[in-house]
Amino acid sequence: MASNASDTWNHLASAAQAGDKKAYESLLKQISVYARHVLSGRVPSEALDDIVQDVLISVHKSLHTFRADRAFKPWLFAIINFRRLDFLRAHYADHKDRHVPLEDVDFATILDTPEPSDHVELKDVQTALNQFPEGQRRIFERIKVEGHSIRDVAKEVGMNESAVKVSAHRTLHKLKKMLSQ
Amino acid sequence: MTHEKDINAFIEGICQTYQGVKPLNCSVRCSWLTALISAGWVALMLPFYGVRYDWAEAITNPVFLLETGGVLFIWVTALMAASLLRVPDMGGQRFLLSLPLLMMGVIALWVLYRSLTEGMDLEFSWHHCCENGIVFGAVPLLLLTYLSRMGTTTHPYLMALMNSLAVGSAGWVGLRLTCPMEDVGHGFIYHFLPFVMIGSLFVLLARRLFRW
Repeated sequence: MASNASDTWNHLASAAQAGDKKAYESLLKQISVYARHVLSGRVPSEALDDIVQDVLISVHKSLHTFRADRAFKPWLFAIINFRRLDFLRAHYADHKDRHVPLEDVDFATILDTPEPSDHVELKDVQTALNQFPEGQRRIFERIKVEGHSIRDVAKEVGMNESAVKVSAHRTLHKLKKMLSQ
Repeated sequence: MTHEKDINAFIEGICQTYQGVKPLNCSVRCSWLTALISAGWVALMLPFYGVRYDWAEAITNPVFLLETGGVLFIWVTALMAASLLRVPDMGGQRFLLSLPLLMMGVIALWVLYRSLTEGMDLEFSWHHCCENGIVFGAVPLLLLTYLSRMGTTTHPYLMALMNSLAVGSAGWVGLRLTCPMEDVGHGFIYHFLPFVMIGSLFVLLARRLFRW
């Protein structure tokens, strides 16, 4: 099966080199599925689409280096691996693996879809939140749990936007401290 | 399903203007052609700097012949490896990378042995050999960089290393044919170190030079 796919790709790549647009389109579509399959689990899922696109661009740029008398899969795999490592190098160099901006944390999704094993933790979060003053808790819940914008919450509670933002941020930090104790 | 739509639209965009490509020349043929042009350049420069006066004696010296033979081996194998590195998977012939590196190791050990037995006189100053070596290596360097950039390497650092070895070997052979000094210290400082420095710079710039 794998050998058949490789043979098909060999034919498609040869035809594509000769200028057959349909063969090229079919080849790229099959490569995108394969690349997605190879990369999933090896790179962060949110970056998967970008890396697959990078792989397709790389195949486009390097198709002239493919020789029909050689197997297609090792050639393709070398490109996929190169782009994966390129991405990971940049990812780790920027310490993106260690930082998640607070704005990106989707509390609404996390709290709405608890895993069975998370019940205790969720309960702990609720208990900890109940210890905050009513106003502060309300701001935090409206922004981080219910997903309202800072502007809307600021209007609702009659405060300016930066004060609301600071309040939510401080609540989050305190919450983290309380839960880590 | 949105991402599939995006990717399909992206592929259609790529294919719209696509008109086919000319396959890259055969790596082996390309490396021999590069070797011939580089050798031609070195031969062309020889009359300008003058062939060493003791050349008749030198070509009967087994040490000279072995050293030069070893460097010629590095030259050719590094060129072949560089040509293969232009293809993402190296055409499945990764073992070729080990040949120039292995011979380089043998020569390094030989130089170390000579320096221990003969003694090495390290005197750093500008010498015309540095200049000559750079001239001998200039055309091979430009040619190789151009040819390497025609491909799409997935190993930019190795590509830079192989190019440096090939260029350094071309320059070194040129210097061995023009400079009559057999002293190991002179050879190390004026025939070898300039290429190490150029090679290091090349390796540092590798990711920029061979980006695609």
